[in-house]
Amino acid sequence: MRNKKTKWLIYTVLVGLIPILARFMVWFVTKEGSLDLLSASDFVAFGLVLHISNINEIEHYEGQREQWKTVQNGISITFIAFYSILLALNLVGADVIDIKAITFCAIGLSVVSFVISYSVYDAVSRIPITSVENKI
Amino acid sequence: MTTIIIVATIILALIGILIAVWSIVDTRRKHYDDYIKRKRSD
Repeated sequence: MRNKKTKWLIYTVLVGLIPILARFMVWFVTKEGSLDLLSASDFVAFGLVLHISNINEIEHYEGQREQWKTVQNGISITFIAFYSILLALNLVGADVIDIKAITFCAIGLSVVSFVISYSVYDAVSRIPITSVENKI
Repeated sequence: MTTIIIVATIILALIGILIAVWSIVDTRRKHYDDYIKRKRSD
């Protein structure tokens, strides 16, 4: 049970955090003011990684909870769509939109995405023993 | 435009938190019910 969550933390969360960590390292070694520490695109990438892995896990989940699957798939698709909008707005640039506001929106949503992803893996890691026994 | 994005973000974040909490509670409840069923059948 714990193994699945550890794998999620390393393979999904840590991989999703790579752009943020990479930017932090580059920011740390470059001259002050040459690079922004926070960027909306990094947090959008983190959120996308979490939600795509959620959809994949829900697809392979064998518990009989159709409503739960539908709700989780729906919220993941909604978040992916909204992240796409944020990414597009971020690419359009500061002439049209307040980049700082977009960055804070992306940070807030990525935190919520992390909580949602935890709730998915919390359910997936609790597959009933009976369903495993039936397979054997 | 920025205001619309911020409002949409807040609404989506609230919905996301509600669904996450519902999911965790629902999972725990189902797990507990399964445990009680197994206990009774033993």
